[in-house]
Amino acid sequence: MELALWEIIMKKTTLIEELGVADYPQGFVTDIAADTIPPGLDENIIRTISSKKNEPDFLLSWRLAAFRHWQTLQEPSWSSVRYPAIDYQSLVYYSAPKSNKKGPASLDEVDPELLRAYEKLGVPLEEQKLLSGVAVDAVFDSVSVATTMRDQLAQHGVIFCPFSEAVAKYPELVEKYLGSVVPYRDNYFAALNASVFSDGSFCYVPKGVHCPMELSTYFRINAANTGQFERTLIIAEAGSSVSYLEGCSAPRRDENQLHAAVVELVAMEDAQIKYSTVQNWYPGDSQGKGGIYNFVTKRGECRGARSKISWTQVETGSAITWKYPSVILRGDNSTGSFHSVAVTRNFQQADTGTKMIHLGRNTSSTILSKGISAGHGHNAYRGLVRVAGKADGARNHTQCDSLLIGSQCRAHTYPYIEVKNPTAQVEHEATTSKISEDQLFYCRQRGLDPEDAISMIVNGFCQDVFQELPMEFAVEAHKLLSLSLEGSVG
Amino acid sequence: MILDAKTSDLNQIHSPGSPIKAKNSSVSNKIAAPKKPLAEKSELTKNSINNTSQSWFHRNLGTKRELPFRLPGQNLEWLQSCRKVAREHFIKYGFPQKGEESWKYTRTNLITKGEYSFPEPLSIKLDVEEIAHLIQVDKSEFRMVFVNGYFTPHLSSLMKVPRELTIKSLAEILDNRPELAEPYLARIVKTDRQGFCAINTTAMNDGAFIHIPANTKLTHPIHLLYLNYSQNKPIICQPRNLFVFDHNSEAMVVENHVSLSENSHFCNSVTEIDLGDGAKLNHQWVQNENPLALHISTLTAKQGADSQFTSNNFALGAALCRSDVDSKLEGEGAKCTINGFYLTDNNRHMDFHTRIDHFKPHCRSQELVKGILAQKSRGVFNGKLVVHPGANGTDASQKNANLLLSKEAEADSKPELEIFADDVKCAHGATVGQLDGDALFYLTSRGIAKKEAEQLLTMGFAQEVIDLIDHQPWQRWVRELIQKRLTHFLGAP
Repeated sequence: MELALWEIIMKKTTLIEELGVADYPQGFVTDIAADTIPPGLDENIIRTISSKKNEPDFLLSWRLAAFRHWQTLQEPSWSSVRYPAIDYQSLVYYSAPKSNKKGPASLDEVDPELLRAYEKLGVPLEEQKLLSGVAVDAVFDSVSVATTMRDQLAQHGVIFCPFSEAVAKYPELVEKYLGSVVPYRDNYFAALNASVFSDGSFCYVPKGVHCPMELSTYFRINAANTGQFERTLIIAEAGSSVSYLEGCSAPRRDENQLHAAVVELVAMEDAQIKYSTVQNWYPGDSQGKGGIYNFVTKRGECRGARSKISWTQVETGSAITWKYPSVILRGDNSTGSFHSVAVTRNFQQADTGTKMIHLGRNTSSTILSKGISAGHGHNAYRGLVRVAGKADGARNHTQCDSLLIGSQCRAHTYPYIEVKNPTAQVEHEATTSKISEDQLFYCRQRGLDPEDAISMIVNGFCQDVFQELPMEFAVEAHKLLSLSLEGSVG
Repeated sequence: MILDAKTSDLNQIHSPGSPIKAKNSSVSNKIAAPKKPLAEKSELTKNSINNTSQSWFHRNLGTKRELPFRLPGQNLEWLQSCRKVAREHFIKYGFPQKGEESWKYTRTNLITKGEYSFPEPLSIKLDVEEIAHLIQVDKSEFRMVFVNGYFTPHLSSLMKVPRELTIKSLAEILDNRPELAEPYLARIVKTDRQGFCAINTTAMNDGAFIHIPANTKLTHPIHLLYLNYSQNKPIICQPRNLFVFDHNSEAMVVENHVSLSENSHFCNSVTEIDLGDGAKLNHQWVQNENPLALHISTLTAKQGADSQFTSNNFALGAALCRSDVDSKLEGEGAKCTINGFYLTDNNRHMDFHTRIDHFKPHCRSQELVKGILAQKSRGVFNGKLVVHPGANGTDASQKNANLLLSKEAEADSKPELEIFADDVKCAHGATVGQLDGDALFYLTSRGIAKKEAEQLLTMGFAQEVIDLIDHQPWQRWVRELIQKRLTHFLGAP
């Protein structure tokens, strides 16, 4: 049976390779005139980026401080991912579609080519075509090109706009919160991002407001040889709530491209932030050529009592995924959760997980991580649960399961548990296994072909995470997963 | 080069790119033995080990320094080359550095800053009566007693050892029958980036050598008793053991580390084990040294097909104890069971590391490690399970549970899985918590005093590991030892 299965897999793989783009339909390039600065990284480049955005002085000096700090750092090598050295001087740090004005005021002014690109990606920006109840900020290379539904949001007092616009309009908010969760000293890529970040989304939900619709940002890398360094900042004031979605894609190219983003979340008293990601950067071809390096620092801080932050991620893309969306549970009774599905196939690598830092009393956290490794895929879960001395009654439950498909894949688990309080209750469990012959046999005996059977089993394996996603995303995640595993599993 | 993880507290480990930066040590270059040959100096400075390691090396093992003991087998080329390689490794890498992942939670300053001297052989006169309380467990055991690392025949009991077996001091073997040790010695453990193992290998002189021939089953346990006695200046002793089990042989070995004085001492032991096909080793390791002692133990086993290695480790004493138990499953169908227990109070620090490598198909491994942490102590568990390509049919499980009894105690647990094959079944779990309030309430509601109830529950927690000792007298002995320690810091019921 094993053999027959593999025959089907092999046939399927060749078929897909012949078809070419079938497995990554987002791999097209948009032909658009771009305003691109020369490659290289020095203080002048940073000044250029800053002046292109008319930034206030505090931001420029923050960028420069970050850059000076970055220069003292060495690229870290402790993770399980392997990649050739990145030449930071050969990257382009800013590339934006050419426009007449500084930022489009309304959709009518957005280049129709761009609108077509987003429509092709399944993210139509015209209001009438929008999915009801979702506001979209579209980030194209280094800038935000459009943000929808802003008027409706404004009626509720919710600010949702490109980061550079927030810098211009609400500098006091930006100054107050920028770098307060992920300081530029945090790590190598956070320092790099702080020096050169170009755009991203900014969201502020005032006190007591429940954001009336899902907010979302769609990140698109288009230009060649550029890195994307966006920065997202979400602030939920006391008693407010917001759900935020993030999607992304990039053209298929033979070169690797760097994406080093920073996401900061701040939840005040009783506030709730739900952050969902469906990550579908170009993963490279079946030989491991090309693809995005997705080195991202994501962290949320539950500052107020009873606040809640949850991360949900479905990671199917990127040549290398290296990120640990984390929660600092500072407020008493605050809650953090992390739900993740990470799929690696072909030569993809992922070193992902989370950090739950319990500082406040009666804080609780849940970690559910599902790793699927197929082909030559390399999938590592790395997580930290730390309970500080004052975190009485802290509670954590961690479960990380790995599914292995094919004899060449790898699955690693590196949990760190550090407990300094006797009243804490921390549990960690992990399992690693392949799809059992019994399960397959049972499905096939009911008339399912092996491919459907595997897809069904894998979907079942991920179900607990998918159900955390908002509806539209859950559907997309299902589709992505089957597309991603198609051919590599059978 | 010192790898110095200079990060804010929250990001010590794994944000993408925690800035682990290299810098030169600012500590001035104080080398204890200044009058050494020039060539020697340049050899050390060009290889950038840190100053602590450098000065330690010179204080204790420098070329000019006379060791108080004779290194056995000096004419053996292979042995000298082992010592030389280990020495080079130590010169190159030194002691574990701050920021080194496998020493993340354990600082070695207590050891590396300390001044130790190698004890003179047989400088302490002891009678069998004086150690009677340590050798009562099983009267019919085969016993080797080591005083400060040196084999002491008059305290040992090897008269009844069957002729086909070899239970001798390693020094004697290296002098008289080195061919027995040659295929194994210093070939099972690594000295590369293993500072402590390297210094043991550089100056290895004595320890236990056990050879069990094929198809032989030993009914009585072999008891290796290590007595440490520091008079004024703390001593360092470095037992070096080698157990060779030929195919289908079977035996039980107990390693027991005890202090005879109240002074600090440093024990750095290395044990190598080679299990042939179908061989069975039942291994117990008990460390119950005084509260000032420092203990580093490295044990590595290599297992043949269908062999079985069971190791129960009890770390009860010492101020700082680091124990590494590794097994390489190199034959199909091998089985490895590593259990551990640590009990700490005061400022003690216990670090228990295991690593099991599954190289061949259909091997099984199992781990259960429990820790009870009281007062300001800290317990560390790190279990690594590696399933190499082709090791299909692997079945492995790993469990770590910690009981925190005080607000100042800390438990760190890191159970790791590294899997390079697909047909495997691996699971691990880790928990940290306190005594179950409901259970405590239930017991007190039945009229049991709170203290006694706590004792009962804590002992019950330990019991699971104690029960795994597959030898009644030793099991009883360990239970009493643990019970006594628990009573000591929980207070008598």
